[in-house]
Amino acid sequence: MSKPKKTTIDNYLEKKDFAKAIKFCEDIEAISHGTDTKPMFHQQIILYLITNDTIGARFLYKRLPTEIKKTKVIDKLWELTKIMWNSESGGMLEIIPSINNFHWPDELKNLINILLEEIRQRMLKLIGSGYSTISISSLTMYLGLTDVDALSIVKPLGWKVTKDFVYPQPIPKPKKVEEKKDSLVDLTQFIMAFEKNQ
Amino acid sequence: MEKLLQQIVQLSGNQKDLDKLRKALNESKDKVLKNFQIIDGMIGQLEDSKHTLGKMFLLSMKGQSRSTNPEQYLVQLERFIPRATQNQVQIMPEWYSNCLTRMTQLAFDLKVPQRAVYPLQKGIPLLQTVPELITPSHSHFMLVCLYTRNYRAALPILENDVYDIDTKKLSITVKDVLLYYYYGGIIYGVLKRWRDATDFFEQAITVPGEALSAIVLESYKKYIFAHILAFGKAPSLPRYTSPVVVRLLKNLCKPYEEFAKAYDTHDMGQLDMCLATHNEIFEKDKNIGLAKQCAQSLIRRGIQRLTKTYIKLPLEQIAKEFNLKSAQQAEFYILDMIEKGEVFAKIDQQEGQVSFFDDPEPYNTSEMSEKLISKIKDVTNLTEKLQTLDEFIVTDLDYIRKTMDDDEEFEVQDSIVKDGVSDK
Repeated sequence: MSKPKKTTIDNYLEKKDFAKAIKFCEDIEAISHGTDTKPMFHQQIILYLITNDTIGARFLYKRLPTEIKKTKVIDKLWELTKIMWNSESGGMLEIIPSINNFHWPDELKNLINILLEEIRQRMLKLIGSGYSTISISSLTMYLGLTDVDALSIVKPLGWKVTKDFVYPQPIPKPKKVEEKKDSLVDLTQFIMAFEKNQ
Repeated sequence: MEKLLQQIVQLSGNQKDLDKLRKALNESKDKVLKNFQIIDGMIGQLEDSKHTLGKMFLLSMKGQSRSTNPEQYLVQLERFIPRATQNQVQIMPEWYSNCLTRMTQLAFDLKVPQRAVYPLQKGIPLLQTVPELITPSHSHFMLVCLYTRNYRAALPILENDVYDIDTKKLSITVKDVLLYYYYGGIIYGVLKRWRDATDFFEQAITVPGEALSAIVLESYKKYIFAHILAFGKAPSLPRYTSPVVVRLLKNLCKPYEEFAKAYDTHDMGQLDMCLATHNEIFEKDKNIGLAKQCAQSLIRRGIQRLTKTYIKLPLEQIAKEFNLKSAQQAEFYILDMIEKGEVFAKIDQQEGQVSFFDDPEPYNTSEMSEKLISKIKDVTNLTEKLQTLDEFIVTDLDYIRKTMDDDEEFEVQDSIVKDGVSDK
């Protein structure tokens, strides 16, 4: 059996360039009307969810042609969108279990794994900055992991763990490589602009 | 007609030839109008990018025939528009603009507005000499995006601030501009970009005028909600809004004004009452969704205000204060607000309370300085543009004539004469 050909989307996903992947899907959607081009609606919705753009996902669902709306996968994706949309009523506790209790078709498995990973990272960051103490049961629910797995992730981050509670610490931002900027040029231009407009 | 086709093929090269072609095409209008049946044949023999000028002429003339097959016409336009060459479009932008307008109309008539998205996305930039130029297609594009619920598709155009207008080359009306800002505001609203939405509605409201347009009226209604959602308080119109418009708006939008006043009391009961009283009007105006979002936002605004008074609060108490179901519900709210940067707080699950603190941003990172620099650049660019515009206006003959009364005009003429004499 030959390996499936790598698509443009896969290339973007490898680089974690989700914005480009979304743009790619949106362009395909735009030219698909009145032509034979097949839009990639499943991927597109999942990508919106990956970037936490529930608005994008919601309205893509709403503009889907009716004959496409009736599939099980789309139903499931719509359910996920609604859960994430309701983040202020605890949607983030339900999202990972809901993703996991579905039999995803093979061609979407990679994307779904990325979605799970992104949500976990997002929650980890949020717990780090938003909680001074959190119960182990809440933590495992948010991350959608077993106690053991969850603790094995947070311990290396230096989070203190007691019998029932975890003491999260903010996760440091990845340090950006300092680019050498021509700040002198900027400064000169600002001063010139200010002089002129005095 | 054979000759015309030949001319198009031969004269689609350099600028000089194209100018000749433009003249030839203009002169052949009557002939073409009498020979609609052969337009299709000619279009078939021309290439989209190479013969853009000729093709856009023929396609825009075709719109004047009553016997065209709409589906076929739409396909022709849809294929041609994205492939046109910009320098040829710019020779007669009006023709290309006609093509865009016809295409949009046809897509709506045939109930396939989604097919207009792509050609407009590609066509509008070709029509613009600079990205700041507003075209008649701007408002059409927004309408298409609204109809097809493809709001994100509008962003590349929306995010380009427009402040240039060219009425000589493109026939654009006040209505086009007002609609652009009205629809654009709605799109930003759907995307929950409330500050941008407020800006857009404000643009529509503050267009100088002595009469009230229906578009301005509807913009004002939505403006109130958008402003509340963006800034947490009722708006006050900018001072440069036309006084006539302000008076009429205040008279015609009483329920909306009351809603804004009720919001400013921060009292949920009062706001709910106001919402119930005017429910019907908001429903009729299709603004009920916005009103409900405002009511909901009171909770978030309330929590934000708490941070100014308290350092620590039990979640239970917060839930009680805002009629939330449980302490857990309050926790979800606060967590969501922390993620969105609306509040700086830490939740203590062990003690069941939350502590508030100030913005931890130290303002000494390279990212922050980059942000600052780009903001300063925006401002200096804007200042420059304003100056150019100012210079253009004060040296404009019509403007000088209008702003000077007769006496002054004489004085100026006198001084010119005197200067002329003394020079000699």
